[in-house]
Amino acid sequence: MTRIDVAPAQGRGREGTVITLDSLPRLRHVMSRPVVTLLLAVVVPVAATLAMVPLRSSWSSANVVLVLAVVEVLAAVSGNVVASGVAIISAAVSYDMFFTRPYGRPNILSADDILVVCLLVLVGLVTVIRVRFMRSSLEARTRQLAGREAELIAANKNLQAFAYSVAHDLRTPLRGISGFAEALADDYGDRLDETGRQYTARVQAGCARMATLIDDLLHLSQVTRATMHLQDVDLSAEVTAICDRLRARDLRRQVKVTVQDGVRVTADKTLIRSALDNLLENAWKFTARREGAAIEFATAPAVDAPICCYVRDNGAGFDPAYAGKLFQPFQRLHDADEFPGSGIGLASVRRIIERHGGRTWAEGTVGGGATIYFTLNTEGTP
Amino acid sequence: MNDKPIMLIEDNPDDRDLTIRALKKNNVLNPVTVASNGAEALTMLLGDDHRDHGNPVLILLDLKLPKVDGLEVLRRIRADQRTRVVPVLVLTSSKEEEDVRTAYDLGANGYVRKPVRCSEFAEAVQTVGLFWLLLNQPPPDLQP
Repeated sequence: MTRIDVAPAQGRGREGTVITLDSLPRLRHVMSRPVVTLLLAVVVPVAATLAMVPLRSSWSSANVVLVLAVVEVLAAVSGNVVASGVAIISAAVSYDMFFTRPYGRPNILSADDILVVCLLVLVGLVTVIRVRFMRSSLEARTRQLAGREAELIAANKNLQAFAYSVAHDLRTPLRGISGFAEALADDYGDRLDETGRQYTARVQAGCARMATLIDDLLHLSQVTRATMHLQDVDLSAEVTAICDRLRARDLRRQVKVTVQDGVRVTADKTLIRSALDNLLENAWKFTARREGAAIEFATAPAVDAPICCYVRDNGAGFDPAYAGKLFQPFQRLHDADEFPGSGIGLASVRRIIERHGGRTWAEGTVGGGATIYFTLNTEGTP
Repeated sequence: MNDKPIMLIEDNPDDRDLTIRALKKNNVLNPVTVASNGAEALTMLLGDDHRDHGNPVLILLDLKLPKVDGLEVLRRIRADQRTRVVPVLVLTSSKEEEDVRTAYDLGANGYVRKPVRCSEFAEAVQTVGLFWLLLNQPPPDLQP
């Protein structure tokens, strides 16, 4: 058995980003309160200057570094220009109050003091300007990204609408071809020879195949666009109901169905039912030539989601080398005359599961049956 | 009651002919009047002609119509005293949930997706259409 994991691990990437961004906004939130910021802007430089008094030096370089650091941090975290200014002024004033006056030095206008104050102001200004610039470029980028996202969503919607209307409009001429071929066979069949009648039959068969394709395409498009209504769904009951229906449709088949009891999830009922429909119909179809056919629905230990389920059959299986193609639209791993189908079913299943925040993957071997796993993680999905 | 016309509102000539053929194949012998767009249908149903023809016994209505679309035709048919109770069977290739709901909201008596195979279409007409044609006593023409 080969386990092939074909779903992109979207969830993990998102969590990674959340962790790095989580703590900074909280700090930023506290710091963005003006009272906190201004208090820090006054208290820290004054305290720093007072701490330098015992040293009785005219200017401690440690003090300069500390005040500059306060200005930088305040500006960077709060983005508050006023707070940065207040920090510079309180540093200058406390320097004047505690160093210059008590020791009878000339006041703040002395040359080296002016130099220090100028340096403070300059660094403060540069910091503020830099933060402002960073902020605006970040905002511009965010706006740009938001615009791109809106464009993408619109393009995606357009594409879906396009797919729908193409599929829809394709049905109209197909109805004409098929309808008149049938009319020809019905009304003029007696004037055609055997070959002629075969030709009209082939036209009709081709139309029927194309009709199935178009219907499945429409279904795929609807699955992608449908609005989600999350509710409590009893998957075990749904599976049992679908299997009963499949059994009623073909009473000659003997299939052993095993369903794990009480599997309940939060999901969109219509969508999840359609996914189970597809999975079970596949299992039903691919066990058609198997003596002692068996289908099983149960849960498996889940690693990255609240729940993991699987549908297992002992049917025709598939070559694990092509498992990646299994969930792609129009990809079939069996000949059409062996097992008919459009190759859209599992693509719909994947879309539905992805809309429920889950993943799909398949295990199987040729002749050894197939197991389709899916996880559901509806917390956080809209 | 076989002499009362069925009105077919359909713009696609292929669908029109196939529908008429399917009706004949199912032994529905009523004459079929055809309107190829919504505006024409409304003139025939609600215009001056109405007094001459009376109500059709059944209306087969396509939703995707040029000029006035099918849902609008249905709304106006239901809004008018004279045609309020005429059975309307919506025939369309659209299966959008929204359309189905709107059609029923507006008072459609049935909704049939045009299947690709003519025999299936015939079945659809038979199951829904014949009910109205044969089993149901059609409402008397209401005077305006």
